[in-house]
Amino acid sequence: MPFVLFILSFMVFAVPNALAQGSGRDYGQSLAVDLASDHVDITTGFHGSRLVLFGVQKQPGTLAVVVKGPERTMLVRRKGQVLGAWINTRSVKFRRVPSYYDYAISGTGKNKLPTDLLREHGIGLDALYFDPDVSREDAAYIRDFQEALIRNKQAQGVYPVSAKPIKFISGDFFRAEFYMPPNLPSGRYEVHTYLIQDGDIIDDKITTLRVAQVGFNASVNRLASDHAFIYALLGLFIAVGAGWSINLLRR
Amino acid sequence: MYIYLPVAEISIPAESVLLLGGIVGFLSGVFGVGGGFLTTPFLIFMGIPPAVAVGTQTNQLVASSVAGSIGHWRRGNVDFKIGLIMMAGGIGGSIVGIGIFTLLQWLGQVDLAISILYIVLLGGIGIMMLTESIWAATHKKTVRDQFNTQKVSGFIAKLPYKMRFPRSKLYISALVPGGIGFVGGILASVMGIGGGFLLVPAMIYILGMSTIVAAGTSLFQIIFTTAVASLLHAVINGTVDLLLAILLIIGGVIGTQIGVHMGRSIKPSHARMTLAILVLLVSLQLSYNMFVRPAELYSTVLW
Repeated sequence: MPFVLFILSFMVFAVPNALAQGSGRDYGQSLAVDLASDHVDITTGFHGSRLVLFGVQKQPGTLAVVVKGPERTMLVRRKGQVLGAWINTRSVKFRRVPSYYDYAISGTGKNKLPTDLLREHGIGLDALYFDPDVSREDAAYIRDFQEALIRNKQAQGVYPVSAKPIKFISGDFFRAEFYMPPNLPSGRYEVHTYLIQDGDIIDDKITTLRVAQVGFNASVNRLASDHAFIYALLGLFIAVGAGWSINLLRR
Repeated sequence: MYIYLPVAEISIPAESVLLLGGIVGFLSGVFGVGGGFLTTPFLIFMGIPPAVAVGTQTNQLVASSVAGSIGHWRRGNVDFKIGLIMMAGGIGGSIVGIGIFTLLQWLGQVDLAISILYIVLLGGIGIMMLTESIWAATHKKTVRDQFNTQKVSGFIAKLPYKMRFPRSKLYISALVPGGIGFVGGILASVMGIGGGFLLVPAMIYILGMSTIVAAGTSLFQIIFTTAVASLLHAVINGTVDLLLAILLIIGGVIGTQIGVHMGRSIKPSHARMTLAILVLLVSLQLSYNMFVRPAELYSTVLW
């Protein structure tokens, strides 16, 4: 009897799972990816870098790679005219905004992919969901704020303007490259790679990337956040010392 | 050379920050103003988050005011008695100012408050200084001569707690320098500026001090006001980036020394006229930004 239950439970859980993820008998086998480096070290000399993903695609289909930085809560404010002056009047809070986002698509791009699939997996800027925190459900109103947020992130260089290409080096061996700007947010990044065939995901892989300040910068940042008072005193000591020493040198 | 700032979390070209610090230091040396009214907008323009620009600026001001006031002190241009009373008011003002800043940040009106303060204060002072300095230049008289002949206005003369200030040859209520210091302290916290552009004219026109002693004394008391503001910004808001501050300081202390030297050879009325024009330009630019429809109506902030 326990054996039968085991079989039943396996069927209940495993079968819908397999169905949900497409027809793939080869699920987990038709895609292999890795990052050229699993971490980005932010040193004092950091001025942006590149994220390179390599992979092998063993089934035909469209590839999509999505890179997402840690989620943050962002407030978007809109200026309105009050007594002739332009000041912040309205705002919308978004609770889940990736601090960094980029994506790549192979072949003809996302035009031929179903919208539902793009939306579910957050492939492309139109497909992103930021979880707005608003009392009134005015879709157009929220969309304006979300678009403004995306524009702002694009201006900062942490969101793309369009999809990056996926280059095939030889046969099924591919490579995708993303630019990481100088103002790259720290934290744990997730890189999702999807293999899409006839509008279904037939395989996917997740790799993670760690972005952190290292060395001197990390020490300064830790001191500033963990021992703010000591950090502040150190700052004053440096400031007074600098002002004083220049005068001594001049004598 | 690009440097990644650990607290601002952004990479910036070090040379441009050094240059900015140098220019601001030069102004500080010549006019006795901190020059923060230029640094904060430029730092924001470089992509430094506004809160970090304001917080860091307070730390840099400590260094530039120490450097500047030592120069003035050696030449006897610091009225310590007035300075200490202003300092007491200034520290109180700093604490109140941090509260205001935090509230404004929450309301999303930091930019508005800073713009209005700049436009009203800079505009008013700029016009006042410009007319006065043109008058002084054309009449071959210094402002001090003119103002000393006038009686201190009735309201100020009636205030209690009168004290003698031998260095400036004044007999005036302690509430006046204390109040001026208090306003300076609020400005230091809210705007990330020393407030010299407001304090120096106030000391000249309200207290009746000479330009050079007003500059020296204002720098002396700005040391303490900005030190308190910097401490509070670092502890409460976590917005002081020391690497950025050090870059500004290095540029600033060099600029200040050159400025102090130059300041001696520049005629006071000409120096005031130049400062007035500079102050008016910043004020006009800010008015333009406030009343002309911005290209981007939306702005975002980490919440």
